Amino acid sequence: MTAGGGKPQPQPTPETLPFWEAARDGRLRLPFCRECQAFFFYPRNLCPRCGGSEIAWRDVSGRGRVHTFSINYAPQAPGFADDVPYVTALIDLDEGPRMMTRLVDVEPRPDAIRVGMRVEVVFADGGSGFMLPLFRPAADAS
Amino acid sequence: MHQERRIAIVGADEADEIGIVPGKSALMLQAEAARNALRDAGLSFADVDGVFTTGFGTGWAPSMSFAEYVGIVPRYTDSTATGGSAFVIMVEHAVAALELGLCNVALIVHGENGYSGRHLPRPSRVPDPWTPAGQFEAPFGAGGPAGMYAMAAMRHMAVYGTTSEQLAEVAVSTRRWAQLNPKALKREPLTIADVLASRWIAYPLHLLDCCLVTDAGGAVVLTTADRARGCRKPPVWVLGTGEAHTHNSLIGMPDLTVSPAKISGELALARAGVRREDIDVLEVYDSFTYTVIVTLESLGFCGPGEGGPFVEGGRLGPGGALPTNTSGGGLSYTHSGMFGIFLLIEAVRQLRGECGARQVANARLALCNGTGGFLSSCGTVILGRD
Repeated sequence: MTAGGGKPQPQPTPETLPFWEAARDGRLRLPFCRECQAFFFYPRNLCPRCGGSEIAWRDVSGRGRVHTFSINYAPQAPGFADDVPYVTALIDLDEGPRMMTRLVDVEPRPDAIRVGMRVEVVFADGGSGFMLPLFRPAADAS
Repeated sequence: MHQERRIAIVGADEADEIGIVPGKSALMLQAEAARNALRDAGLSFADVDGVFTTGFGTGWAPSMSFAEYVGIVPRYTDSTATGGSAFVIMVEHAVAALELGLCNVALIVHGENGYSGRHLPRPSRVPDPWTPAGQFEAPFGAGGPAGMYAMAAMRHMAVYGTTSEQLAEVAVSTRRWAQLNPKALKREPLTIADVLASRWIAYPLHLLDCCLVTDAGGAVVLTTADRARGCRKPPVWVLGTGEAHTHNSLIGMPDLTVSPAKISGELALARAGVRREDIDVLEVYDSFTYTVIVTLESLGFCGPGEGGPFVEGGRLGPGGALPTNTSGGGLSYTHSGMFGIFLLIEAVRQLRGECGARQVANARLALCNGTGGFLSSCGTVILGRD
């Protein structure tokens, strides 16, 4: 649970396994409800909007905007004491769903990050061989 | 106009000592608080047949742990797990159980050694790695309350222009109440500049935007009208209640600028048949300064996005138009882990006129709003005196 520098590691469950398998290959792949024709997150065995159980898996662009962020000067999860200050953020993907992530390749300063800023996914090893979808400012970040 | 007066809070008190209390376990604090609240009501453990408690510090079965410890064999049991809102939500559950005759005397109790037990392992605070939060939040370094509430506050600031100074106003108003409460841990003067000068915990939240971490216990006792009339002190009536949760993990929160108080508050006000302008005392969970601003908006005391300007000029403090968190709140009085019970205790004391220097004159109606998780759950209770 806390391998890989003591950081929490995800333990995939049957309904989330396709997400983590795609991440291992460097692809952001999300569940898509065939009934409401929309992506949702996190993966479930039914759509949280309509209850539909016809779920497809589709690759998404990995691009989106910062919905909000915090700059953490105290660790907010085990194993992050050596990382402070670090930035956590909620990302609104262009395809709709919202994800929690860590912002990288950006100075952990209020004037370097903006709500609404364009970001793109970048995969990095979170330890134990798990590739995590992190986000960095996109080329069109401003 | 008011809901029929059928159920009352008849006892309310803290543990013998609260604040920094080394050498007391969570169960000791719970037992002290329960005994003191029952004594306040003129009742004893033998009268209690409904037990309501929750928390992290007493194992996987909080109501069984507590009841066994104090020797109660309840006919009604409740360990609702909604975080710090739970003790307020439990008032609604207790009312339902008492009205159905499933129990006759309901005891809601909290006790946690949040400060002195801070080095104890708390696995329940780290999500299991197979849960949604364990897979999709914790690996990214998210999960602590400060970081989560900071993200919600940041969204409010970006959308509405809420400022750090406005957040700090909440801490300052609350501290002014604490200075009038001998039981408050933090009583030294506090200014907006002090809050802004305190170190960052999680930007945009400073240290002094965050609640205390203390050791404390608290309890309230409820019973039916016929029995309440025979208790030691005048009854404080439960006029209306509401509860709701909208999400668990922050990725599931529909709108970071609206709390479930929008639902629970509307329910409680409608059931009590009272208007917001009738409320004399407001007790709302202040885990962080932002929690107060989002709660005021969600309860409808001001419009969406207006919470920042609304709290300016000491409106919430002593002498202000809307006396709020008159104990000194989680920010300055005490915060052992799940604050909800202390909202109820302070409201009862205000309505009884027991608050000395911090007494709100002619307080007849109080509204308590507990918040739990990551702005995930809320319970609202409206209390009134005869």
